[in-house]
Amino acid sequence: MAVVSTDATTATTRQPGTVTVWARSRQILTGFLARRILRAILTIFFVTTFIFFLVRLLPGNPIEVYINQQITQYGYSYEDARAQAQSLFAIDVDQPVLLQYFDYLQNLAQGNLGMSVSSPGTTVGEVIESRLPWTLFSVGTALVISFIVGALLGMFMAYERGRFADSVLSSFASLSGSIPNFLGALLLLIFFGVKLEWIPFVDMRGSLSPGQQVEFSFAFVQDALYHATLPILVYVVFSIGSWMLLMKSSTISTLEEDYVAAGRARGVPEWRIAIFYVGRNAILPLFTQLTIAIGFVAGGSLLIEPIFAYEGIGSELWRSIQQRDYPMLQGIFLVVTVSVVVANLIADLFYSRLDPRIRTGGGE
Amino acid sequence: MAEAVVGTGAPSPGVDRAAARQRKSFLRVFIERNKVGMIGYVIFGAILIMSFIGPLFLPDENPTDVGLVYAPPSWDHPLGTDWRGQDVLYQIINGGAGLLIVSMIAAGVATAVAVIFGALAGLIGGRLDSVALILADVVLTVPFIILLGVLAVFVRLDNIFLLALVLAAVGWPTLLRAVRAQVLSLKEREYVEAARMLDLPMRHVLFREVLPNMMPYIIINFVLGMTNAIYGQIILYYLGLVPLQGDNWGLMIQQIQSKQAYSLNDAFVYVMAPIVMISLLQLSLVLISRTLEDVFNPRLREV
Amino acid sequence: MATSTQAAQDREAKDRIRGTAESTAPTILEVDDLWVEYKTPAGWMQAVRGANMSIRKGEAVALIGESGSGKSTLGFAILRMLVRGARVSRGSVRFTTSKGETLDLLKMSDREFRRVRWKEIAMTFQAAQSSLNPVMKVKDTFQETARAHGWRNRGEVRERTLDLLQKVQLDPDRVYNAYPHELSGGMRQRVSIALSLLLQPTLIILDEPTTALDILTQRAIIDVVRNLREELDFTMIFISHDLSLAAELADRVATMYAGEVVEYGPVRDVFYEPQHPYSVGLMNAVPPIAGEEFTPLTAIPGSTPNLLNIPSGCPFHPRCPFHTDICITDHPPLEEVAPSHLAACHHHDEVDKDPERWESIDDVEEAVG
Repeated sequence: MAVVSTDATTATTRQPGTVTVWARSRQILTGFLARRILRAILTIFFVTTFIFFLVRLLPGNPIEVYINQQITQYGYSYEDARAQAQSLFAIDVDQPVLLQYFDYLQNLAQGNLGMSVSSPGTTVGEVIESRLPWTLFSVGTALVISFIVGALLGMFMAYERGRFADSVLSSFASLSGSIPNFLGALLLLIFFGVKLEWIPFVDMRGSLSPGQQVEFSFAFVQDALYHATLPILVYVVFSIGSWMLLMKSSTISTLEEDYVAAGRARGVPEWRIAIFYVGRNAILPLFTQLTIAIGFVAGGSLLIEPIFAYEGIGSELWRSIQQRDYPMLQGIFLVVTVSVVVANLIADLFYSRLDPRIRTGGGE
Repeated sequence: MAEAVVGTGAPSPGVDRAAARQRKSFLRVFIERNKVGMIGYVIFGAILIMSFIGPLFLPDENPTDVGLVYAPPSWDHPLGTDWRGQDVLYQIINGGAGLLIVSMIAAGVATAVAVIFGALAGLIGGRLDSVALILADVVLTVPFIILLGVLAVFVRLDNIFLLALVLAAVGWPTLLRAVRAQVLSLKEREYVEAARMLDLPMRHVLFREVLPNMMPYIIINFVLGMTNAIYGQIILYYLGLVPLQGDNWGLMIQQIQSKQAYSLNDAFVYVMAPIVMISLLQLSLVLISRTLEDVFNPRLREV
Repeated sequence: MATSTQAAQDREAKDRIRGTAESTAPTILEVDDLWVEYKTPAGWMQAVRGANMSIRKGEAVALIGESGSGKSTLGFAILRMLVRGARVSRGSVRFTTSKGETLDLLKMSDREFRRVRWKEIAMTFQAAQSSLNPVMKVKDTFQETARAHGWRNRGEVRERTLDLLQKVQLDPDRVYNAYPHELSGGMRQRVSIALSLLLQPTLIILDEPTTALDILTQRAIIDVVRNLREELDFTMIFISHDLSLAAELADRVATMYAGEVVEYGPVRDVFYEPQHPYSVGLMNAVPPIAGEEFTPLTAIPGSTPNLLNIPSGCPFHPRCPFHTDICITDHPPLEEVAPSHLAACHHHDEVDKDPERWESIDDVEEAVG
């Protein structure tokens, strides 16, 4: 706030109700969310452009590799191989690069991501459509659980700081943050699957039990949850540590804020202090970290899903990398990035609802 | 004579505490305040010694013994053998140096980029600042594991510098944002103001005033950059995107996964060895960065 | 340091205070030999060291001192809101409620204390900028406070709040629905003052109400407080490091140094005939208020004492131009030096405001070593 005038004048000149609809909407447009939406669009634009030129311009680019492969392995003529590559990548190789680029953008806008190389006859779009829901479900659930539980635990640690419970949880959080999650998944398998045999991990493989149909039924939801348990558990256990530590340090500094002491002095009940004074304010900085966390957990699915044979986008990406299925790789990369961008926007929306300083344009 | 004490009524105990602290030596305070953190230094030191001095004492060859596949620990093979019957301990001792060197190069490059551009963005502000920030935000939004995977598929990672560069390419944005925040707070300090008032060239302000004062922070960033680079490297190995040769903990993980060795009871020690080493290395670096933050700038974690 | 004899002396001094105040209204607050300590890595640090003070109903008392003098800690101790790691090691605070009950505030349980908190004693905080919860609207803060004390009629609370906001010269409707960040620093300070008046408390403690505000806003806040006192007639403790501001609002002034009350008397007497060199030093360090003849500004030499290692005898002696050997060995008791005017100084009759005496301090300090 940069109001450096006598208060009496500011208090009287700004009449209530003078904030017009127009001013309000302008405030929103120049505000926090508008900037975030702009950033989201920019991100998607950069990423699509980046991947296009990566595929096109690098020496030994995948299109050429593919054409050569077709010629040497299957005896296609150069023209035939080229035509095939064109349909696979949804790119007209004969055109100048700039035109190709616009074509590519137009195709993307229409949802045309090209064809899969490794499973001929299927479009990249189809594959992604069948895989994405599983990943969105498991990663989304895991993220929400680890954010909420991590924040609660972090707050608890801050209230208990220096005591036994805090040191135990802090050690856990440090460990959770430093062990790469796919190694964690392996550890889970080794200890609880192989050594102790507590987890029937062969039975839990896949996204659904054999024969289970996708339908609106309790059995389906139960089965889907059963199979998603292990991936979700691993995401949560190995991402919760950073939330716990962030929330702990944020809570400790919030506890020192004057408004907390002032609230207590006014006799505000301690549970209200904990929720509306400490918790509500301490959680705000965590939202700035969500940007990184969402991408991180989404990326983590790539490494964890194959371990549990969970048929999500991660397993598909794994397969595409192993088989160098470039159109598929490109498509998955784009779709995952867009999902992360959208998830970030949702998080920003929550954030702006929680912090009035952002809602009314007080800056970031 | 405005009062510096804002808060819950403590009449500046911090001042007296600080005075009391100054009387003790820096090192003693450092150790006192970081009893847990010291474990990090010990572990990291041990790993460094093992990885860089250990290989000098190893025989040239690690023979494969097809008759002794997945052997449990014994006198000859303290950590057992792997799927080819090769000694696991040999691979553990030999497999850390490469990982450490690549992550140091990657962290160095990422930190340098972050420090130079972050500091310039923070100092000059305006358009350069917004461009740097947007670029960092964009790269941050893209899931870095997937970005890494895709980059590695398109770029053949056949030498360690290329590998380090790819890792640095995904690692700089976090560091840049942190450096920029730090520079913004330094910018307000008197000596930087003074240098700018005197119209000293930006080079001077940057290298003489700002960077020296950021040294501790740069070290913290370097350590964090290393953890990111190690993580990234293990992922690349795990995905089979780095040419498979030599001894490397990441490679060991990749083979454990592809041979499904984790489901064999006898291979337990073999499987655990690289996992434990990597986890210990990461944990030690995280602990080190945390103690550095505590000592140099306890409030920075919130930035 | 012979604390027991010092305590005895202080107790005598307190007895004297009781009989000498000008006002004849009943005493409502009595601070008796209060000691407050903070736990630090280097041991217990004494922030308040045997403070004595008594306040009569309707009075405005200014607590003056540099930061670290213990004045804020004293205020917090009265409202029982010391931070974690602080404790009252000795002494009592007796308070007479609006219903005429006399309570020992420090001996009550937290539950019992709830009927005193905010209903009887309220406070506005130093740095009002940050004493309002940033995610709550002003109206919610008022409603919540009322509700916490069993006042459930929201319409009534609203009426009362709007009335109070009007009284502190804010635009009630606009401020009522605003978030703290939409208000300027001065406006937030007024909201805090209105908030402290919500439950019609007997005693209000204002902790540095003008710190961190620009000079015009300070002026406006002082006027608001003065008008409120005329209108609502509450008892007030005003904590400040600025003697001239205190002079405008207070009936009596207590000067604190190193956790002790070193001078206590009617505001005019302390101003025109200060009896403790530290009060003189504070006055010389700030520009005089209007109407007084010009005196050059001088700073008090040295710095506030390290509370972990308080000087022997009179704690002010290392900084005092008047000090002699007795000041180094004997702790001066707080005693009556003029009608209803107390000071703790061996040389109170020599104290004057001559700035030249203060400038010679360097030599004194060198002599002391």
